[in-house]
Amino acid sequence: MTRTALIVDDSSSVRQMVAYTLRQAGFAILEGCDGADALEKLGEQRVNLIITDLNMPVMDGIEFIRRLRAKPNARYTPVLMLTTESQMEKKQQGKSAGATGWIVKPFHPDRLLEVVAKVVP
Amino acid sequence: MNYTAVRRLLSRLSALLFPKRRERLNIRECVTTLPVLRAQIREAARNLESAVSGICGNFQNIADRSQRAVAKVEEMLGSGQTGGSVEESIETSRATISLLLQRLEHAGQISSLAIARMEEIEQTVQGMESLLEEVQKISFASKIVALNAKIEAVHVGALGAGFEVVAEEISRQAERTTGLTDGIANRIQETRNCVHSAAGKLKEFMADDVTQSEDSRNAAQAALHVLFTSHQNACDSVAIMTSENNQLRDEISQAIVNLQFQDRFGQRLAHVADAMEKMENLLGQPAPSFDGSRADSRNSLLEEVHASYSMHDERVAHTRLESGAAAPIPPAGELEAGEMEVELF
Repeated sequence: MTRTALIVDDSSSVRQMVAYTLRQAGFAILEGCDGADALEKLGEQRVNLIITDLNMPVMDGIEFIRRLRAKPNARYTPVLMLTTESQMEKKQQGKSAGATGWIVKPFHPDRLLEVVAKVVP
Repeated sequence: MNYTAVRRLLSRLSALLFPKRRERLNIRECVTTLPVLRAQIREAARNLESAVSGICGNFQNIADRSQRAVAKVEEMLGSGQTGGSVEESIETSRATISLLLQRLEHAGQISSLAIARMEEIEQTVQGMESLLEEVQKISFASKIVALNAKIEAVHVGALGAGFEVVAEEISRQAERTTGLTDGIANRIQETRNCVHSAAGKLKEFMADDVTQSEDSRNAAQAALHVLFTSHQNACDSVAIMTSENNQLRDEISQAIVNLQFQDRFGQRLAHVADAMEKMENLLGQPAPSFDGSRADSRNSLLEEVHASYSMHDERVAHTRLESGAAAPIPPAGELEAGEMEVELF
């Protein structure tokens, strides 16, 4: 069965790069340009993986994860933050919000897939 | 002095005594250009993102096309996961040709058997001819006996008349037997000629057939060898293509890593544009009345700008630039292969 990943980033080029990488691993892709857009696109749909940026207009990554975790069907979905931000304080906020892991951009496609393989069995 | 001259003098005095006022006026004029510059920066960032998206899409299309081409050729040659392979077809052809040649050899063996049987028939017919010769001899002897009997019947006279009739009948039967055996001998001769001729032609055909079968076998083997070699060459080419494709995939992966400079670059431009917006707002406010407040305001602005950064590179560059050092821009988006900062919670 095809696995689905939701990619949330305000940069279309980053969404494109992450989507290309995940498609190599057989994922179908959903995209959102910010947290609010992603929540709307997700609706009641279940996905196998979410990769989100931190700093985005309208709704940032932390708020997105908080709202996502409030949804019963997304409580245990692996959520990876993919951001240029590497400060401990921000990481802690992400962890508290319910992120599964933190990856600092730029990402390397093969390494990203290795991390994905760890969080999506 | 008239009013105009007084105003001009006061204005000059004012410029001399309050140079800051003059400067503030210039800055206010300059502030009007900041929104334009800010818009230029944001537009440049958008254009860069659009260009990078296009390049990224091109790379992905190249990789996809390359992968599809390799998969198609692999499928065609049967080295992939799917369906009937060329190797299987070659093996099937080889087996079919071998079977066909075996059947031809079998047909040749049957022909040899048929020739042997014909030769046996020929010998049997020859035996029948010998027997017929014996019958003809017997018939001739009967004629002689009948003739002698007639002569003896004449010597006896009237008493031998009945004996003469019998001798005549024996002579007539001997004549019939001779006629019949001659007919049979002719038929047997014709049969023997036919069998002999058929056996000869079959022998010729077989000799040709053996040669042609051998030629066909050699030609088929050579054709299969060429096909197999071509297939092997094609497989080798596919292996090279696959290797090249993997190399291409790795290079595209590295290109993706390198193209991420745009995201970092875009963010830095966005932060600069945001900072410019803050400056516009501050410059639009009334000037502070003493230097201490100005210094506080400057530090506050710098701190605010520093806090808006999201990247380590930015913070480092800001600190170095603020201290007056000529800070070289740290390389963005350049990673060694496999290097990536990851933390799983």
